[in-house]
Formats: sequence, C-alpha cells, structure tokens
Amino acid sequence: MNKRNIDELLLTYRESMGTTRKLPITKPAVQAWRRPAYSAAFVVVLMASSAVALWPRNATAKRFQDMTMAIKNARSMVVTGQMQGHSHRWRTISHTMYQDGKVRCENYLGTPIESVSIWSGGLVLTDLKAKPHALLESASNYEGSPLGTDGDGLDYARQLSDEGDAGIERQVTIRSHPPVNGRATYLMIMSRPKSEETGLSYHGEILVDKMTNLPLEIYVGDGGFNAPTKNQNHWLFDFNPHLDIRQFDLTCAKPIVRLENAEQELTGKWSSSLLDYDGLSIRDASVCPDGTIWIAMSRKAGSRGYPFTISCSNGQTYLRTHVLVPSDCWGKRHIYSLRGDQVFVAGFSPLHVGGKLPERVKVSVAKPTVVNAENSSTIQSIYVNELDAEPRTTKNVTMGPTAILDLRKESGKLPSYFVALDLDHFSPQIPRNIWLDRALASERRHDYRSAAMDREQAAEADQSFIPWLGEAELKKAIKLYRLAGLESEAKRTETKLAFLIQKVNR
Amino acid sequence: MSLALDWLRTKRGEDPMIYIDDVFRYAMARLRNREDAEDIACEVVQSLPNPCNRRELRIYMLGVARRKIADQRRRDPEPPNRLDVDPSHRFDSQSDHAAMVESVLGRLSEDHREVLNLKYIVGLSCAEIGSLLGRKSVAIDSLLQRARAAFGAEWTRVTTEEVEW
Repeated sequence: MNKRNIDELLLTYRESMGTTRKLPITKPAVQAWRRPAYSAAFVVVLMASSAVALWPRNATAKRFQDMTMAIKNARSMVVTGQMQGHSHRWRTISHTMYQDGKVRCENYLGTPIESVSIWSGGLVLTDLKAKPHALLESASNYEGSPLGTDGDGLDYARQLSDEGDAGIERQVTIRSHPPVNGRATYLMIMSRPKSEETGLSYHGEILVDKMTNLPLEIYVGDGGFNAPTKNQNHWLFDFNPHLDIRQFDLTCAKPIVRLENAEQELTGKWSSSLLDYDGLSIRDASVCPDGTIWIAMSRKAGSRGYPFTISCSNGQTYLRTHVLVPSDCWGKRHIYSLRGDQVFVAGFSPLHVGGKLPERVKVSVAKPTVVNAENSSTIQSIYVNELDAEPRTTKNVTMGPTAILDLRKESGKLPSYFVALDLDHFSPQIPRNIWLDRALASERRHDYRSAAMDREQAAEADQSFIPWLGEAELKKAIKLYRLAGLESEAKRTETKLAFLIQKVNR
Repeated sequence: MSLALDWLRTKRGEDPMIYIDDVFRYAMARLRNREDAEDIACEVVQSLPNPCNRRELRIYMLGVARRKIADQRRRDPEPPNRLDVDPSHRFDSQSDHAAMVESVLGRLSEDHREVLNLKYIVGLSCAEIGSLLGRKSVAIDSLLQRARAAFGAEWTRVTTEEVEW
C-alpha cells in the first residue's frame, strides 16, 4: 500500500488553487503635503498619454515593416506557445522550431492530440502520441503548411505578430518598456474596444527587441500583460538559435507508415466488391472487439446508394453510429479515392454491449427515392440530416438487394485500414460518439436506465478525448436515473460529477 | 477603540494586498468556486484602508472573509457547481490528487476541515488559528491532530493509500 504524506497532499491542493486573478483597486489615503507631488505626476502622465496618442500612424506602420523584415531575415526560430487557464499559470502547449525551410511542431494540448509533426523535404511525418505508429506523407497533401499560408516558417512569426490585421480596425500604440535580459525593448500595443455587433474585443501586445526589431514575446487576449484573463495566448520567440538539425529528421521510434503505400495496398485489397447496387460497392465488412461492425464502401459519381440496415444472427439491434470519409474533418487537399470512386465507411454498433461477436452480417442497401439537390450533394447530408443513427422510416427510400457477408475479425479497437484512410486523428472521438448514439436510442425506447448507463460510459470515454465534455453527459445521466426511479444511482453519479468538476476547475 | 490602539501600536501600516492570495485560497477552500472566492478576497481588501494599521492584519482579513463566507452561505446554502473550462487542461496525477484532496476534505466535519484549511492552505500557526477561531492554542493543536487522523482515515478509505504525518 502506498503511503502519502499529509503535508505533501495538502500542499498539492494549495498549489492547484493558484492565485487570484481579480485584483482590487484600493484607494490610498492621500496626505495633504503629498497632493502637490501627485499633481505634478498627473501632469507628467497626461503629457506621456498625449505623446502616445499623437504618435504618427506611419511611424507604427514602419515599426511593423521593420519587424517583418527582421523576421524574414532570421535564419532559425523557436516559438513557445503558452496558454493561461484557470489556475492562473501559463501552460506550455506547443513548441515550433524552424530552420532551413524545415519545421518541427510539438503539440502538448491534450493526450489524444498530443503530437509531433516534422515538415522536411516536401514530406510530413506525424507522430500522434496515442497511436502505435507514425504517418509519413507528402506535404502537398496539406493546404499550406502549419506555419503559414505561404509555407514559409518565419511567416508564422509575422502572422502572430500581425494578428487582427485582416481588415479589422485597431489602435496601435508604441510605448517604452524596461530592458529584458539586458536588451533594450519597446512595446507595441494593439487594441480594439468591444464591438457592439460581435461582442468581441481584441488586445495584443508585442515586446520587441529595439536593436534587432525582432519580437521577443507576444500576448493576445482581452487583457494585457498585467491583466490575466482566461485563455490568453502567449508566445515566446527565440530567433537565430543554434538548433540541432537532427530534430528535423524524418525519423521516429515507432514504425513509420507511408500513407501513399498504405493507400496503394488498400486499393489492391479492395479490388473486388462484396455487393453492388446502383453504383455502390461494398468492399469490406469487419467486426471489432466491442461488437461494432464497419462496412467500407465505394460509390461512383452520381450514385445515391448506401447501406440501410444490418442484422445479425445474434439478435442484437444495430445503430449506424458513424459515416466517415477519408481524412474526415481534416481539411486536406488530398483525399483518398478508390480509382476515382468516393470511399466511405459506415459503423454499426450494437445497442447493448456484450455477447458473442457475430460471424456474418445481413446488409440491406437502399437509395433515397426523393432527393433534392441540397442533400444529394454529399452522403453525409443524407445520413446525418435524414437518418441519424437509426432509420425510423422507409418512406423516402427505395430498398435494394440484401446480402449476407462474412465478417472479418479485427483485433484493434478500430479497423486497421483507418490508417490508410487518414482517420488517425479522428479516432479518439469515436468511442464517445458510439456511447452517445446508444444513449439516444435507449432513451427513444424509454429505457432510461440503459440510457443513463450509456451516458456514463460516454463520460468515461471523454477522459480519452476531451475530459470536460463528460460534465454534460453525467448531468444527463443523473436526470435519466431519476426518470428511471433510481435515486441511489443518481446520487452516485452526482458524486462522480462533483469530482469531475473539481478536476476540470483546477 | 481597537483601531485607535492599533494605530498607536503599529508604526507603519501594511498593504492588505500582501494577503489577498491567502484570503483567496481560504475562500476557495471553503466555497470551492474560484469566482466567488475571488470576489470575497477583493471585498475584504477593498474594505480596508491602504496602508492599514491593524495588528495581525492577515488574521483580521481572514476573520472578515469567514464572516462574508458565512453570510454567503446563509443567502445561498447550496451554490451550484459552475464549470468553467480551461481547454489546455491536462489530467495529470497532480491534478488528480488535488481534486481527491478537495473531495476528501469535503467529507470531513466543519471543524476538522476549517482547521486543516487554516493550517495547510493559509499556513497559520496554532496560535494564529486559535486567535482567529477564539480558542486556546493547545485546543487547536489537539483539534489539528484529530483532523489529520480523520483526513488520513478518509483518504485511505477512498484511495486505499495510507497517510502519514
């Protein structure tokens, strides 16, 4: 049994509270003899403020130009991204390094998306911490680079320093600043008052090295250097450091999967179809250990066929929980297609978990009978808007043939071909989505106990995705338990919710 | 009268802002809500002159905070848990421990929780706690021992880990 020291535990608790962000303005008692001195100081401040207000506009524009030029002339760069949260502490969320046209981005924002990506020689190596492999692909698959629209690493620094420039009016002032690490500095302050229309305000501060015109630090938020607020961003710059060039090597301790090769291999595997209907071809049917059945399909242009329902001999009810396309939600220029045909994958999850995995699946395909131009353009619109996880009507669809397919058993949580379909980044949210679909389906059936349990499971799954999302699920679970008359379960979930809120609020 | 005596006894006043974080942490431990705790800390500081010539200013400020918290509790016995999310949050073990400590403290009696907060969160000595709570230092020492034992027992019950001090 581990032993804990009470002092250490309570000190951890004390430290986790951080310090107060809200600072009161106190009025010192002014003694009579001090009044003339304060008056003189007021005059000095007034004169200084006037000088700032009267600073010529072209002078601030020149400062920007000088800074941009200095950045463009830098040889290398390290940018440390920080974000301020509740605990009033700055958390380092990223490191971005640039040298000789090569870029290394390290992202520490959260476990599922914690990653390292290296851009070098027209290739990109992405190592997602949560995955057992790294992915190597052509840089041309992406729209631009992680550092800027023109792909120039140093443009990143320029863009950060020029935030709010896109047609947004802002007031730019330049003020003197005490030396930092022996360097003479000045401060550029960009601000825009709260807009009545959008309710948004903007405040940016750039600390600039007077000698080199290079930025040292940038803050963007609705406060300022000394007015910490939630979710302020802060970047620390180090220009022209000597960087170890090996950091930009496209190497990784994990096995490296070449995306192009994986795609070619998949094209070979999916050369034959298991079922054809109106331009739709089923290419693969597999089952994962959690019982989810994944049907991979290709579809010719103009075809509107899709898998409608599935059924298995185990008597389970299946929900269509996902319809995924390659590189889903990724905004890439290159999207995998099977010899020009659109590819998509539909996931069907059992309503209740457990039991023996099915060996075969009976798939019914269909196509919408009446389709207007709006929802015939993409398959997602048909699935998401019209059918949701469960088809509740067959009124608007023409049923096609039915086939019984053997199910290939997958050993991993998700089909192995997800790597070739560039779905690695999407996978952390799949477990929570499945539990939520189950919860909704159970609720529709007035099975509130199951729905509450599924919501709880969704909150558990959120711990591997975005933990604070679990709050909404637990709240809903409490209501559902009460609907089911299970007060003790509701109370237990309330304790769980309180614990989650404590965790998130730190 | 008390203020006049304080004025005579103290040569130089203190800035109440020095103790704002102590007041904030105490209020945070009691209320479990950052915004309310920050409000209380600000109100306490703003209620005092700067500089303030009170003796034992920190103890005095904590006393004011205690009264404000008691008032707030009377007005709003069960304040809702407000979730205010930090997107950069990482669920590391330290954060887990802090949340667990808060949870365990929440299960202790009011007396035990109060004395542990004042000792560990604010960092007061037994004599100072006694002065604040109107008890003798020896009584606080004894209460603290019992509070530590209660915390240890509750921690072990929840985590199966032993606690030593």
